[in-house]
Amino acid sequence: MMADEKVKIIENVLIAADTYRMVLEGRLTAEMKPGQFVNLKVEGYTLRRPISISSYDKTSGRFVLIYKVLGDGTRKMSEMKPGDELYALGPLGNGFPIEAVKSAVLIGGGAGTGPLVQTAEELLKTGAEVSAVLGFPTKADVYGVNEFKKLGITPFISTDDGTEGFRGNVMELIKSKGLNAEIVYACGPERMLMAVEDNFDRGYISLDIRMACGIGACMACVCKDKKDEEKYYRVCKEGPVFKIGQVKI
Amino acid sequence: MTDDRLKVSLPGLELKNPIMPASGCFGFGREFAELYDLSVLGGIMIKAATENKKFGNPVPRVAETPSGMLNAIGLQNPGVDAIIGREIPWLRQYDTCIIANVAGNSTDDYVRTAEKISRAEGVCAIELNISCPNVKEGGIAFGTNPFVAESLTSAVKKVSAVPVYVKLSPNVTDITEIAKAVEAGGADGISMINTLLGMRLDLKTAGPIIANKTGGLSGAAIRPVAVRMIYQVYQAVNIPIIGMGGVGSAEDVLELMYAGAAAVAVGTANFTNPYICPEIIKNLPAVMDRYGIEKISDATGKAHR
Repeated sequence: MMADEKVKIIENVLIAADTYRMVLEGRLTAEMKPGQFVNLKVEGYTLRRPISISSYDKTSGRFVLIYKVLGDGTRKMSEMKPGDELYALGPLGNGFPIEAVKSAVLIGGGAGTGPLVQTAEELLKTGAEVSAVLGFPTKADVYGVNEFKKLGITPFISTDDGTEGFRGNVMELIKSKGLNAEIVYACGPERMLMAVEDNFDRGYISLDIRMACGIGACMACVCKDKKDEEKYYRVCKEGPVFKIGQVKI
Repeated sequence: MTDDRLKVSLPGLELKNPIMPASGCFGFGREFAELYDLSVLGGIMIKAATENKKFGNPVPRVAETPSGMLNAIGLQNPGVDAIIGREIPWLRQYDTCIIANVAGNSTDDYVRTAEKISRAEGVCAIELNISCPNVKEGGIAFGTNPFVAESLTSAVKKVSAVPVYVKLSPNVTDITEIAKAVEAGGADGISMINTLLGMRLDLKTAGPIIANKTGGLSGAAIRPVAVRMIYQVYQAVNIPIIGMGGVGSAEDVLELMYAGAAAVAVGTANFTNPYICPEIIKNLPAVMDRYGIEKISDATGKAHR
């Protein structure tokens, strides 16, 4: 059951350029699945900020959000201190289905790397071999390496300018490493997701889009089915995760 | 949750309290029903119905603004038949009044849609949407010309089995002219205000943030405009007003009612706080006590006495 709960900030730190890691504590953690999101109420703003859940620990009730400062609302979030509280509506959306596979490749772009952390953990629990490929514009933007290392995964890194890891984008990196897997899980900018769609048949992508209600009522965040022009999905409700080939990006 | 002090009575609408979610901000109630019992609501103004299903505008469809937001959804809805077949029967399980919002491209399709939905079991009233700023045809084109507004109202009145409330646009020079026109057309009431046409640009791309370029401004930012316009229209007509525009608290409800509203709809605030409607209903009696209002219906038009 989703709920709107006042949750406490445990930690809120800068981890890369304009990128923050916020740890929160609340009862809604008990309901979370990898790839879901929460809609955060930032005091003084009309619209909530939908942020993907990066990881969670159901024992402690803590969950982690990785977010990028893109405007006033996220800037205000970045200025909040441990002990501060805010309302989180969630968990929302469908999340990444954890399929029974031998191997999976996780593909993250920029702030889209966040929700792949818990996805990796859940896949590892099933005994799957998991690799992660993370792409960023430049070295200063790189994050997530430690999160994956804690899980025993050393992620492959690419930067557009080559200042860290492979020079190029994640698809080029995947090809250069000859990475192949039964299934891919991807989250990142649109053009990256389009490339993933072009190169893989089986897997899931998570969309990022401007939302309002976050629960499927307002029709702000819709996308169309890839084949059926008449069919649409609400990204907040039927997504944010879609099967490869399901939606028009 | 019933409290006689909160009851209000309008044509077709015997409401246990004056609070209802505004059309477009609440879908058909299904999502909010996961959060609370919709029977606490005085009424529900459901998402606009058009004759055929509509996908609406390209995304992005929303943007934050100071104390508000812009939207250009474009009346996305499954079409009147699906709404009558699936949504209204589901919503009838709750003890609340259903107000069906109707939009169209032409007088004929407004009339056909209104006639159909007004005969659906459970629909207490129609809200005739002549003020959507986000569609190319219809909508606001009917709400900015008094002659057109009057003739559409009268055409819909002829076929509707339930009272008709006409939803007015604030994007006009003199809203009282339109209000008088729809009254002359036989409207049973007025709902006001729809959103104010606005625009935001992205500083990186220099282009509009919203794909439709312009969008409707809503939220707290527009409340003073709503109060002013309700105040003016209350003086100009003799039919009841359902007030809306930036309401986010029981105090705001009182302000719109003082200006002249007989009931109040809550729109954008549902996005900021999905529990806002039940919270306002719960807070109303204490706020009424503070300002010496015995019955909420006594608040209507208090600014004019």
